[in-house]
Amino acid sequence: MIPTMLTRVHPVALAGAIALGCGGGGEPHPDASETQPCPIGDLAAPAELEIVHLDAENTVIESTAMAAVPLIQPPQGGWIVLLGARARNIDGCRISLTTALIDPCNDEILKIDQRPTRLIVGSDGWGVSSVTTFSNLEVCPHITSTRDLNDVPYLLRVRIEDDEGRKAQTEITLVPTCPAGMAMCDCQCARDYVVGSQCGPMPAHDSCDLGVTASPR
Amino acid sequence: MKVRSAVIALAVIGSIGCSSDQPDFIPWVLDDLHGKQGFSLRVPEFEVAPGRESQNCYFVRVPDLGVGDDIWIDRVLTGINPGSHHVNVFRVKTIIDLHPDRGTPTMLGDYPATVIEGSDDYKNSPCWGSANWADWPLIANSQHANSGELTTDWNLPTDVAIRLRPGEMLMLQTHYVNAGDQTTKYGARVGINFYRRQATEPPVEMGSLFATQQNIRICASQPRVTYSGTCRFPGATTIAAANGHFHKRGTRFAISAWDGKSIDHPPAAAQFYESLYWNDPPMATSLAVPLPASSGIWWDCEYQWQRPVEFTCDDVNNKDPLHQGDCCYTFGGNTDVGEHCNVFLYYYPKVESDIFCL
Repeated sequence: MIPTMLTRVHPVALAGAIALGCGGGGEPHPDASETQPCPIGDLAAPAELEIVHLDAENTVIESTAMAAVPLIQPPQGGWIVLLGARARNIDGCRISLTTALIDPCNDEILKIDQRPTRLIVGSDGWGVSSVTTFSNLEVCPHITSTRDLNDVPYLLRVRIEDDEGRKAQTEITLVPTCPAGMAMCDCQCARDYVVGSQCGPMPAHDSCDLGVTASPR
Repeated sequence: MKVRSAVIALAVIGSIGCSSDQPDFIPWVLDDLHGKQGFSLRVPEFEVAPGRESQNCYFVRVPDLGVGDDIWIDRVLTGINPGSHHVNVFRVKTIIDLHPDRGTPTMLGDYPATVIEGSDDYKNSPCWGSANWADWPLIANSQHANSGELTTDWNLPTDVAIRLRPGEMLMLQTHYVNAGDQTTKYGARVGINFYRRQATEPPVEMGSLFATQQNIRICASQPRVTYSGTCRFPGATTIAAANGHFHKRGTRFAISAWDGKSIDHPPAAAQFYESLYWNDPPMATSLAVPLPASSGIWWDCEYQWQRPVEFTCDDVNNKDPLHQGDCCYTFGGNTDVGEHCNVFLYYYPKVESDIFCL
């Protein structure tokens, strides 16, 4: 189905407009209007979804199976991946993004992150999560992981759902990958790392046989 | 032997003469613990100016009570004057910027300590930073702050206790607010009693879980938002106590048991904690939530955007690392310009390390 192109207000422009009236302070009561809908595509058609991720420079990258996805160090410590949605046939302004890190060897869900996202419409009629609304999915350290978390494949499941109940879900196998030469990342993403312990050399562990080979970095 | 603190008595007398707006305010009184009873920490009283916040970090070593290498604590009693946003006690582990030996010498009751006064310098003081949260386990906390409930009496479950070791460094963090709808009318005053378990048989060790959503944004153009996360336990466990923590935009904080298998939100029946109050959230201390191995918790932080009270949206925007210009509250300790979404949770038996989900 060919998506319907719709004109919508760019979120950043909308944000700027609201911010203009925002400098006074001192008023404790809410004065912002509710988020307005911004349909993307044909809302009567099934929602469609693809997964995208950010690199360390906030570049949006379409995620492809077995691709390396960069582990990024956030201010709170640890290492995360930043996942977003590329979607259509959905309300792009009132939408929840759920991402999950899953061990494909045992189907255990290691971590879920759920948050609002905003889709920015591109010239192809698809909406992509604005860089400020990507999922912050913690990967390591992880006390319950039974495998290393760096340089081995994990399943990433992504779901979107708008306020009217339109939803879509997909998943992809990606390879969380530490920045080159970042020993602390290698250490904290090792299976046997204990939070708060000193980082020394960690042995690499065998992964389960997924019948696939990771792409080179 | 229990000894009443002379300081407390003076506080009582003093308060009688200066509390005309709330004549029924009765200051908290805690026993002073000594020797095998346990130990008492008392933060020197201080004032918080109107319109200001104050966050201080006090470092003190666990005293040697003469009972061996392990001190088992089975009751924590706090006394906190109104206006407190939180009182947290952490074990000091990996140090990032916040160095105990860079503090000013002080006393926490009978015990020598140092203090790094963060005051309201949330932009620069390491006491306001969060880097150390990555591996400083929480031991105890209280967010109670109203004049009708000055004490929090946490009796741990039978035969469950917190293990401390003499000489171990602790960090006691106070955060007071004297602005908007959270006020510090009677001075900032905090005391904590750690009661030593008297039974001789070995207890089950209590562990803590600290979980946080730090990458949050509550923006004017999207005023009603919810952030959620999960955190798993490696083994079967029982949740004994929990409380949630957010700031002025927070409207509802919920924690539920999560099966570890589904990305769907847990059913309503799985919820075991709810807070509707940012400035006086309840602490559930009588929980007994059993969790099978590889399950965990799911928590939700719901927000409603509103303007800052003491600061302006320009200040909020200046703090936004992504410079969106949308008066977006992002993670930060000051309650007027920053937001939090933190879970403080206590469970047993403790696993090999405390649990952090960041």
